[in-house]
Amino acid sequence: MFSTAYKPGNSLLHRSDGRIKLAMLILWTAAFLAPGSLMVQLRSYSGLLLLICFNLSLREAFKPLKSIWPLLVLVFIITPPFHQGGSLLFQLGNWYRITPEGLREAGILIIRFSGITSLFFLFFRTTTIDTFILVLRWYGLPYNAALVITIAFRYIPSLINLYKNIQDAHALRRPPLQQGRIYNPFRRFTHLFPSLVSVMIHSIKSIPSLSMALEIRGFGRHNQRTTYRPLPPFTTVTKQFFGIIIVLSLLILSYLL
Amino acid sequence: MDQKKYPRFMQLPAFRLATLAILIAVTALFTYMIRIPIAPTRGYINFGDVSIFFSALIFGPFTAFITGGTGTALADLISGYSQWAPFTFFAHGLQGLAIGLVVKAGRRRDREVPSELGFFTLLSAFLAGTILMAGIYFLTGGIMVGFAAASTEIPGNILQNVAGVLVGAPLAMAVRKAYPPIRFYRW
Amino acid sequence: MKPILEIENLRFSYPSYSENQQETAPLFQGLSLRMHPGEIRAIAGAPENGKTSLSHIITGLIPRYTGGSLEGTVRVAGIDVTHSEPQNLLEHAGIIFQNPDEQLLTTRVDSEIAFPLESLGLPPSEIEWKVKTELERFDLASMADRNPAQLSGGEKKRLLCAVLAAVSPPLWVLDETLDEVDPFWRKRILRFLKESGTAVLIFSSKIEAAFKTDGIRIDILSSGHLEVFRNEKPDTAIREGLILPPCQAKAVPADKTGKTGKSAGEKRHPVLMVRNLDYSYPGNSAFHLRIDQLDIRSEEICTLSGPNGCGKTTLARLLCGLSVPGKGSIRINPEGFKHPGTQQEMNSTETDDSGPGKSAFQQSPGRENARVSLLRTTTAYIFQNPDYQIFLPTIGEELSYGLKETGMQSDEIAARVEEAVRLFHLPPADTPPALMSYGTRKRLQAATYWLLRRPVAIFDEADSGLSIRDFTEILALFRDTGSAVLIITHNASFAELFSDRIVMMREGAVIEGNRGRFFYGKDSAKDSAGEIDV
Repeated sequence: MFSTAYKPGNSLLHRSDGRIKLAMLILWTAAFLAPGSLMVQLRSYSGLLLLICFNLSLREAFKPLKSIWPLLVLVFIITPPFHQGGSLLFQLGNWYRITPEGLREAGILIIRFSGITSLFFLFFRTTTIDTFILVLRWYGLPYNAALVITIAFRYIPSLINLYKNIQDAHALRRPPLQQGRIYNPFRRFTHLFPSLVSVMIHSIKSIPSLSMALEIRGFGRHNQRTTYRPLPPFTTVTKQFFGIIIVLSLLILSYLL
Repeated sequence: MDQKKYPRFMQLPAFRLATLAILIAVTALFTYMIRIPIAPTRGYINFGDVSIFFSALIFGPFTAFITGGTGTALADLISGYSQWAPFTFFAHGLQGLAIGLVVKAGRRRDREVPSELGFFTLLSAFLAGTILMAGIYFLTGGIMVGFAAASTEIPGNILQNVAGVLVGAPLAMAVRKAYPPIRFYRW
Repeated sequence: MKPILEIENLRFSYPSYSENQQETAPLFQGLSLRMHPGEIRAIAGAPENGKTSLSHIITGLIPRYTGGSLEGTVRVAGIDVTHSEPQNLLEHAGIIFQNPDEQLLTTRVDSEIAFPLESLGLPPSEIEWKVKTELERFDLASMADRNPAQLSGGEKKRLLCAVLAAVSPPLWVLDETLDEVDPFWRKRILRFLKESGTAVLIFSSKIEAAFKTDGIRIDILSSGHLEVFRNEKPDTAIREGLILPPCQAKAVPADKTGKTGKSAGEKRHPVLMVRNLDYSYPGNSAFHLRIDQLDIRSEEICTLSGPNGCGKTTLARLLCGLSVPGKGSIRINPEGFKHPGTQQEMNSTETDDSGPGKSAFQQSPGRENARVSLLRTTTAYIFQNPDYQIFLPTIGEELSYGLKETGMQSDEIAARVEEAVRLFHLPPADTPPALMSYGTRKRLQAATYWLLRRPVAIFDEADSGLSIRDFTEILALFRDTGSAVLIITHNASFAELFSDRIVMMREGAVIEGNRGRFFYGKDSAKDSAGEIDV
């Protein structure tokens, strides 16, 4: 039905602690966003590609680019005219000019976006959503907020299924002339609207039931809640902590050199 | 109907939590699954903003903030665009908050007709929501892919908000007529 | 010994939504009940007599969530539940809702069992041990990391039992829980509860044979009172439709021409003719539906039955054009239409396809579109969940929605709508459907399709929420308009009661087409089997 990017595996990153991974994600993203030369960004990105190759596979290293390549092409085309500098390399019409400065800027943006996309891809590929939510809680997300997100994830597949059933039910009520693929957008909207109303009513009616279910399972008690599968105490992951030190050092080095 | 007679479960923490969870899931559904094709260049617009307008109109600014932001962010996570999730959260969250606040102010102004909204209020809500959503996407997108590329997204984002108010407002009215108890679900 | 559950002189009415009344009619009028620890009791009642309401009152959910006025005392383990909060009753009473989907909170089976234990504040090691024990006890260990929403209906109910078992309150309240659980697990669960000394209050819409043999005391809930059920004098039970009267072979009365199901069999024309049908789900090659020949005949009540997963719903979706077969054909025979006043003219048409079976909502070539759309307007599919299509503010608008599109005159529409309201016992036409009770919404759904006069009507597990009397009337109404009726159910006695013909399915194939010999398969203990000739 749907799935997050996570796939089980046994790589180093799969086994790393989620709190460290999240910290690395944030720091590395900040590094990509920081102003810097093209070479710095390239070194950073190639390091990331190596990391993905080492943990997953070569094919996976370029997988994140599959969903963003149209945007990358757009960036390549549309950025140079706004950054002029150096000799004229290409000209189209009166104002579309490509110069080395423009290419450089486009290159930085492309690498930056590819890098950040790959970082997020890598994180969610090696971390389950449940772990992710526990990590957020460790960093300070209140329990109730985490519970809301967990329940939302529980309901999304059900709602998708419900929506399909609602579409079917509405479709079966329509007379023959309105079956089949409709190309008129207005018609399409009038077909869609009743389904949206049904979905909304159905969802809103389930709010009291969910509230009841929460209370009979003990939500809102006076005592403190415990956690079934908590993250291991942070002291046990100090070994991984050094990994982050190494990566940080490499990043800083790539800036200085 | 007598307000006092109606049960007070809307104030229970469990109920509020349930409301947020369900609406987040609904917003994620609308963003992820419900879309209509428009001009061939842009592809599709999704109906996430419809859900945000709906939440703001029915449930109020706080709910629209949380559910709009989280719902669209979750949709990003499950559709493979996780890199946008943090920015989506703020863009759509503040959009929902703005719309909710404008609508709330508009309601207080039109006290004689509490259930109907004036055209002016809706227009202001639309403008507030669009400026915040398109604006935040432009700023954050600009940092990620450059402002030139980010500006190409603006027309599409505006169009999504247009769909949001044109579908969301009738949707809120239709649901309110079909399921009257929803009147009391705001806080 | 102190009673575990004590209800004395309970009176309750829901608040009213209309301006005229303060309250609706009282649901309970002086109801009393006393249960001792370890006692297992059953309360049977026709739909909408208050079973769910009573179960909610016992666990503190009503009037907290509904308002209304409650008098009398209700005590669980000595605690007054009407002045307690449900989260504090967790360790005293547990409830399993009628609809398991309403009760699932998490994304993993083991987290679901752990959730109430976390609420109680138990240390993680103890939670882990309890989760493991219950997963094994209810045979869920292999599914420990699966999403509960994706389990089958029976598995969900077992999961909910596992959750309660982990908390182990002294009182379990089961709201029609065991109705859909297969007999093997029903026995096992009851035995576990008996051995652990748990008091169990079972609500059911039928008087199960199992209750009689196990020596469980049965009460009937009707008209706001409890009445003890006596096997020797089952008058109330029969009147409420909880058991079948001994000498009535067929529940559906003869049609207007005086023909009963049996004698008219030969003269019935097939409306849909299935030939060489082949279908498998995209992406799931394990399941395969293969049917060589099947006829759906007009004015005939046919039951499609078989264990879960045998393909009944798949076949039904193919018949109404929601799914497209990979191979084979479904022919529509207009001579089978008893009322040519249906809205469309049809010629005998085939739907046959080259290409793999796919959902009718995806992109499809024009020719195929026309065929599928004809099937969709030939059949009426009455879903188990009546809320899929409700979206309008009043009953009148819902009923006339389909008719308006066909270009009928508005005064004729009004007349037809009025007729439907009368025949289906619906509230006045300006009532909002979303506020009506479950059973009424089901009748409304049936009424909307009845007005469309489709030649084939498919009822998908429609007996839940409807009393036998109501369902009988609905079936008669459909058959009297000349429709072919197809009932999908896994309930044995139900099928035998209503059908002229039973079609048994297993693993994607029809194993018995015409003779109605009802059986389940090798590993369940079936309560009764019968033979019906056509």
